[in-house]
Amino acid sequence: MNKLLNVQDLKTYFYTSTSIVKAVDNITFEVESNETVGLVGESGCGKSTAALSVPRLIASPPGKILQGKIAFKERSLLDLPEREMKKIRGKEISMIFQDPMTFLNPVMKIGQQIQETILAHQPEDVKNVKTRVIEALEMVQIPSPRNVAEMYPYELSGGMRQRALIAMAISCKPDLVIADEPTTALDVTVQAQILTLFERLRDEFRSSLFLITHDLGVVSEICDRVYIMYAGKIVESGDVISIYEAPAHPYTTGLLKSALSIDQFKKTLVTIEGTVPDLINPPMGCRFHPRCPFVKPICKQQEPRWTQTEPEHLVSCWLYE
Amino acid sequence: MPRELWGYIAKRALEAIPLFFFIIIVSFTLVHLAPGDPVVRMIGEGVSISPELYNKVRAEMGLDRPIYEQLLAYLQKVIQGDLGFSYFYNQPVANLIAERLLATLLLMFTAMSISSVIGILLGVVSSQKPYSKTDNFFTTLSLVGYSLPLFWTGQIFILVFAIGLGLLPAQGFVSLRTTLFGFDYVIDVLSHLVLPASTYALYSLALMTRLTRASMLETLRKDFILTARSKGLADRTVIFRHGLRNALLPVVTIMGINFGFMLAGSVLVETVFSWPGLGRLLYDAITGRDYTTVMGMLIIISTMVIISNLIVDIAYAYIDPRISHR
Amino acid sequence: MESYTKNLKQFWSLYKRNHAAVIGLLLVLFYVAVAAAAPILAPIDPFTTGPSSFAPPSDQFPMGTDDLGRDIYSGVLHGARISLSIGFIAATISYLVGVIVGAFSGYYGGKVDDILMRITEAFQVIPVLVLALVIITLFQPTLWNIAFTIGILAWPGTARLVRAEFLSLKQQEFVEAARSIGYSNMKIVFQEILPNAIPPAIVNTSLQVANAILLEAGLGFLGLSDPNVMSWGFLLRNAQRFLRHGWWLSVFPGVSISLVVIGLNLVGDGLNDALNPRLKQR
Repeated sequence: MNKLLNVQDLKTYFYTSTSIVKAVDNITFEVESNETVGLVGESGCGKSTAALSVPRLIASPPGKILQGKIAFKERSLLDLPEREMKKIRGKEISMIFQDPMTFLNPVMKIGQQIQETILAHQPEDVKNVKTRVIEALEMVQIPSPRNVAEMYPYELSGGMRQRALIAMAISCKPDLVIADEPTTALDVTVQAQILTLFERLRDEFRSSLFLITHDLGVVSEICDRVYIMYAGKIVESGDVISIYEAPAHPYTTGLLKSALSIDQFKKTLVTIEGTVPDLINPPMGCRFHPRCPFVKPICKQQEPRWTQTEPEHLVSCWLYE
Repeated sequence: MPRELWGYIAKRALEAIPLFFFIIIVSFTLVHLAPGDPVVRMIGEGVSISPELYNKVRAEMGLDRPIYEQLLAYLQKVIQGDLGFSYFYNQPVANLIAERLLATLLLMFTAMSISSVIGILLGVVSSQKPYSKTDNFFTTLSLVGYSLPLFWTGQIFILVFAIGLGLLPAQGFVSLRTTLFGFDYVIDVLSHLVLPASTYALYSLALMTRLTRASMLETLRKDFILTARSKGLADRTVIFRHGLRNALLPVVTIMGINFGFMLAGSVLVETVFSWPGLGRLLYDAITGRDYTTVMGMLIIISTMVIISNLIVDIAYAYIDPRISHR
Repeated sequence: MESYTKNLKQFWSLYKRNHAAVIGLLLVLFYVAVAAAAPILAPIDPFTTGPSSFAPPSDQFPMGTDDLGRDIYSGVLHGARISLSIGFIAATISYLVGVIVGAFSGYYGGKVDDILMRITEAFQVIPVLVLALVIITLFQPTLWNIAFTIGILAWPGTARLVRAEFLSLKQQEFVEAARSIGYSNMKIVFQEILPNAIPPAIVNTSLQVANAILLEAGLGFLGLSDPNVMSWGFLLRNAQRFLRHGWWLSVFPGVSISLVVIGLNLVGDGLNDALNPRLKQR
């Protein structure tokens, strides 16, 4: 199958006046056409940075993409001039963000915010644009789309706002949608609705979804494949079923156990010992070693290489070498 | 304009009315609290007072009646537009004010509109590369600009451009020596307008630049700016339609406060340039100890500030639809 | 006490990162020193008239003389004492009033807050210069009148800031704790909340001093300064009358006022940056 998005050896660092934050430190991932891929990790592991690096939306001071290849539809995104990138953003790659309240312009009507996306990429379509705006709102199942288009963000509920954000993202029928924690700020029932919406959109548009989240439940619902990220590195990848049934990396096991313990109302919540590592001075060798129950001497010195445990299931851990 | 906006305007207008009364009460209190004879004060110490005049004014002021009756009478007079009679100028105060109002407004609006537009643009520009050498330079420059005393910059402008270089007139509204008509008249007024307007504009420009820059820096950090960029919008669109439109809110508020400040400053600037406006009137009234006019000016200036605040509130509600909905 | 000096040292290292703010502080200190040393640096009474009127700057008269042959240099130095004193005194008064009003308004809330805020709003409508003008005209210009008037009129800014701080601080836990121990309201306000509410108000104070100095100069320019003492406003009023006779009448006093105000504004900016540090990028 053709690879829609192929990211290799990506490094994105942030330079402040006192330190260098190695948010994304040499990761490789890919998304194929018409698939839903998840990127899972705790807060602060660099997953949002990874997501924002693809459309080159990293704020340039202080951030910088140091190295890597980002190939989208066979084009190298890192070599494109900014004006070409602008043509891709919103049209071929679009983004959905976490908190629709702060991610929508508070003083512009919903309809206008969708309209400007369409006109930015297809300015000839002026006659049709209003219809297309209503269509986009209908696509995300917002009731009375004509009224909603005339409303301001503060007039809508959280779920509706998120739908509006999604409508904005799909209005130009993108090939790849990158969603950064799209359901985190919503309550559980709304979350379920949004996930169903994602599935519908994927089926109708045949676009791919790159879903960034810390919530394993969400991943298990709609993702085909998933990457597990820890401290700026990807530690495990594979299709969702094999990861959940046979997690290889101790971190993944830990994550699954603690998620399950909440779901099953266990008396003692299972946690992973230790704290999230510092991305300025990450641990040597395998970054998870200070918290790993299976740590060996080599883990503290060298970064593990990739091993395949099952077809389509890769892990980076000394346990499997 | 949406219906809620009208409702909001009405609400704010109603809230402004007690303020107006408060000012009249303040004015009344001051006149009666000050040391000395209130009758003499109302006539003005610069005028010679005959016994008939004294008695006439005393009767008018109704000093024999209880205080609250006096206050009510005064309130009534002011609401009807009677701000008293100036024996110094021999005209009703309201007339004096009407004559000068236009000159002041002309000067202030010219200064403020030009400086606001340029100031906002400069602010946007300097917010693009914050903390760079150019930005630091302009930031310091604008800090200097708004620290300088208004009346002193006026004097310096006169020294340099009028006396030193002889390019522009130093005083007045029009040249006194000739009478000009039509287009020549307009040019003459304009040439007299340049220096005093620039004096206000220097301060105003510095303030607007500083403010817009700070507001833009804060707004551009916000999440919805990232959304706008992720949609592939042109940089200009992101900066102006998404950035500036949100950043303008506090700027508009400060513009309103600035208007009040400039209005007060008119007493200084118009004196420096002998500009025949309200400020100059206030100055002359103070020098001539014409307290009736002084009190009338207090009320008028405060009323103008109330009106400008109202306009600012309305503009704010227009830009930010959340306000009128609450 | 120890932690106090440590905080001060920490604060200073933050503050001095901003070069402009340090320059501002030096400017202010310079003028304060000059004002304090005025009797030594310019021993002759600035009101002393002399034979050479409108003399341009020279060795004998470094800043020239005015219409009555008075030494402008002496005037500027002695004027500094008055203008700076009035500035600081007025700012202190407005600070105290503002803090008290803001504290009560923010802490008690409800009706008290409503009334106090309405009065504050009403006061903010009348431009300070105009109201000060009117009051001084009616009540005679003396030093104390002027300082007091300016002080009394400038409290709204501080009051609002302090009130905002109180509104947010009083929700916090340490207030609950104090109340549960049985502290009286007064004690809570002054001992617990107030020390935390003060830092934002301090930035405002530097600006208040600057405003007070500008106001005093403005009043003096309009002829409303105390006629018995030399002030910068008085010098500039004179300059206005005789502008064509000598640029030095206006430039020297004006530059002095400007430098002090610039200094105070730079200090204000510096205080703001030091108290609310933001990540600066390379």
